[in-house]
Amino acid sequence: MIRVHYSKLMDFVCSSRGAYTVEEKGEQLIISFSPQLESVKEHYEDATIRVYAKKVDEYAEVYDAEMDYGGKSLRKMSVDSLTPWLMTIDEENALV
Amino acid sequence: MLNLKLYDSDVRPDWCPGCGDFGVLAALKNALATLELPPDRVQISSGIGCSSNLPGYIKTYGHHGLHGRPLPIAIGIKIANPNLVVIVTAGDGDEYGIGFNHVVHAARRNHDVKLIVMNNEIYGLTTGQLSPTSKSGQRTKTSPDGSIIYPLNPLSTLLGAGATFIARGFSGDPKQLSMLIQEAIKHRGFALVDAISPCVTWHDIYDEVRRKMYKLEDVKHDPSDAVAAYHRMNESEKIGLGIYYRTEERPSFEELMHSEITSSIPAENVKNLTKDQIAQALAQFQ
Amino acid sequence: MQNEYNGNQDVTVRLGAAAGDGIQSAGEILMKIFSRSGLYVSTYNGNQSLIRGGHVWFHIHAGETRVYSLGYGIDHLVALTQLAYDEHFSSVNQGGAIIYDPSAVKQHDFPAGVKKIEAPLTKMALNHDKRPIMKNTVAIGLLGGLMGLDFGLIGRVIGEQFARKPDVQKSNVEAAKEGYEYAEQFGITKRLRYDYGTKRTFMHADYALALGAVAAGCRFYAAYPMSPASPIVHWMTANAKKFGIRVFLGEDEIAVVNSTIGASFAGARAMCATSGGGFSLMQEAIGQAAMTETPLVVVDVMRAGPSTGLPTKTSQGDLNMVLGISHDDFPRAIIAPKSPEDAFYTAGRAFNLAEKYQLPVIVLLDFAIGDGGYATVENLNFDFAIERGKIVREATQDMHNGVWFRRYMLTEDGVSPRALPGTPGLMYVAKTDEHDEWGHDLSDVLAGLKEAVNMREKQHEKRMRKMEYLAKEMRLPEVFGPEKADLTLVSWGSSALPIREALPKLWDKGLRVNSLEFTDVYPLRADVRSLLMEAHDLMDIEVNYTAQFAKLLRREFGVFIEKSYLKYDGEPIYPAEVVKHVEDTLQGKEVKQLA
Repeated sequence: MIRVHYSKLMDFVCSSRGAYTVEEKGEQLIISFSPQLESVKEHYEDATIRVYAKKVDEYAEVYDAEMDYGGKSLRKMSVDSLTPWLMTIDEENALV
Repeated sequence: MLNLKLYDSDVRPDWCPGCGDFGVLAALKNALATLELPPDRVQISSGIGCSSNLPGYIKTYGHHGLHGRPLPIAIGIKIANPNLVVIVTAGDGDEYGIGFNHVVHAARRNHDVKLIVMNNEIYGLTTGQLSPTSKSGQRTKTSPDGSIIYPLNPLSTLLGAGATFIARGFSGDPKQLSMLIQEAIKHRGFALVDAISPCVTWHDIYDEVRRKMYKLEDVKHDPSDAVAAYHRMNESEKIGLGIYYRTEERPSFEELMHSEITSSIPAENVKNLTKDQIAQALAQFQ
Repeated sequence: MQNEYNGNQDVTVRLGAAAGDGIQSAGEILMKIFSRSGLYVSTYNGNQSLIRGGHVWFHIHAGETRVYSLGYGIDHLVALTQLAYDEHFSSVNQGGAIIYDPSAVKQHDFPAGVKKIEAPLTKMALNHDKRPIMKNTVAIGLLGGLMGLDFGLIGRVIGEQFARKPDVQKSNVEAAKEGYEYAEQFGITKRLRYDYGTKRTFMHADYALALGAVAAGCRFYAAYPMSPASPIVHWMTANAKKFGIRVFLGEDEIAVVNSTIGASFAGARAMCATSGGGFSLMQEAIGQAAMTETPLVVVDVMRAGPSTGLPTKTSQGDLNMVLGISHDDFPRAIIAPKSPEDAFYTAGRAFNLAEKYQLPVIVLLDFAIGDGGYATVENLNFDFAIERGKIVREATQDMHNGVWFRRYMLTEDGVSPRALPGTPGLMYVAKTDEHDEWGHDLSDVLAGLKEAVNMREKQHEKRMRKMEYLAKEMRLPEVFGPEKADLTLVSWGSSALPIREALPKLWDKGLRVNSLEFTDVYPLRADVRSLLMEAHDLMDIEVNYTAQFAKLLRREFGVFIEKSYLKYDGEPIYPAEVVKHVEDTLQGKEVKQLA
């Protein structure tokens, strides 16, 4: 489980020109990333990455992620692999 | 250690969440800050591809050039101004395919330029074709039934070409990767850091890498032993991370060139000739 | 074809032998002797791309006043092989001489009015050395005697040539002496007015360009060997230590041009040169330089193509290539010096323009004035102004956004301020993608968005705007001859010179002809149009099949040049050909029309 500041996450999402969107369901956050490459659609119906996090105080704790290729094709991603990405969002996680 | 914020760009990377390149970027920033290299002393050249977008995401001098060609650009920069720390960051398609000829010669001549290859065994930006390091049997857009092409082993090839520093890291272990990059920068001459940097969209090998990886220092590998290095480079079911081979015995290209020609560097020597020099030059034509 | 003997003011000498016979060296000795006798020279190297055998020749045209080309016919032919005799005997002028060794060469169809100089060159050579190659030096001595030159000078020059081989130095001078004395029995064939107090300087365009570049501050040169550009890298490496030049030998032309761009990006004056085939490989990188706005000086020493073509023959066939090279529109300058002297000055100009406008400047030389031919150069001024354009060490407020330097700032003249790597606080990323003023990509997530579309248009215009300002600095063609003429000969680059040698002959015949010599071929100034329109009639003369320059003029100005003399056999233009062609044209004879 890794966490980032909720405010930093929202800043990141807002400055992404629509590449990232966030859905809030109570405490649950679903961050979606849709690459804006039309050519993705040649290979897969879709390639949306969905990151699941839980709001805890001022943090968002990331606990799950999946790659949605469209149709019924879903692949689980390791949360571990998101660490470097999260380091960019919130430098508190930066490599020291 | 310098403040990491010194290297912050105002451009957000457009890599996918989970992209290994984030880890390489973090490791690189950390390495520069640890070595206390101010941003204006650092030059990062790249080619074309997702990973080649890196220079815009770190505040140093940068050159985002042509596919396969960042190394000769870097070589020219280093000869013109050897006071710069010159680094190339690019992908496996860029450096192990179209640009590999330049890598082989740069390694052989031992130019003091550091090459970090973000290796994801695929052509990511152009959406999922086979790359020179794609494994046999790998399914990609250009190999829907599994690749029938034997992959390149860049590490052992460059060992044979005379490279003096060869290391492999993993974007999922940015701490170790930062150490490897620091050692590369400190190394006398050409250094290759092959950074496994999985592509979550087209070829997600995170789990596979975590299963197979081990640290070379944990098995007491001796990086001065080229034969041992060669064997480890050819392991099929294990992925060793660390410095495979290293020698500080060979002078770098720049040392040799600048010892021959001792006057000031090209970037600072933009002057007319002196009267004496003119007379010398004309002598053969009279 | 025999020509008339043209008086006592100039002379043409041709040495013919097989490759490996040392004819190049012999020719250079002779050229030095003439130059130190106060004569002007223009030489041509009829060599072949092999090491031994075949047929090679060295031609020297020397004169009391400036000479521009091979001249007319051959006054003195030194034929060291049968093939040399067979190839050239019919070009010897009346009143001239053919020198040969009857034991090696059987004369036939000996031209009337030509002196027969039979000399046992090999036998004389063997008196001084075991190797018959010394027959060249015997021949030089003999020729010197026939021309009434001072032996002291001949001996000195030969001695210098062999200064590094003391074992043969003395015997070479003695061999020359024997040849010189042998000549007495024949009398003087042709004597010019020699001025031993005047030492003239000779250079070919490759060397002149190299020297000019270094004099203008170039200290980085990258190369991959290719005829006929190799003399430049030879000169650079020979002088590297002396002048602090870093020479980089790339693994291929792609490494060469990219490293040159890298060096320039880092603030050095950097250059590379090749011929057509190598230039083809440099195409992508040239576009890169234009897009990243990095100054680049790149040289094409043209040779006969297409493809591998003829490595040791001349052509002006690459104009279309350099006009169109690399995809899409970007600014560039193309300059084609007309002579070695012009090449010397062009180097410095090229660097100033490349740095001022931050774009690629392409210099076109060719075999005829390059590796193929030395010419006398005079009044070389080494005090080039070094103008580096908008390099900044500190940013003003509008040049910086707190993170990045505004490298691609939109400006009135299209040229943005430029920071060199290593300068504190002015970091930026040079970009080959389309970019905004800060060097950020417009190509990925922003592509198609309104502001990106707008910025793309502005950046494209910015780059191309440089051409308007650049055009004002391009030189107009030089006019050679009378202001008003019935026919104006249009040429570019090296073709100007044989035309200069042809014009006086035409004037002697009462014909009113002048020539328009272009060196700055792109961009062309707008007022070129009126120059062309004012001419009574135009004829295009160039060395390629499709009249590339005439077609450029047509495209740019709508001026339709119908008459032409196009040469594309690999040999240089002979002034006699120009004379004949112009005469035929003015007499209304059938001439080839341009399509």
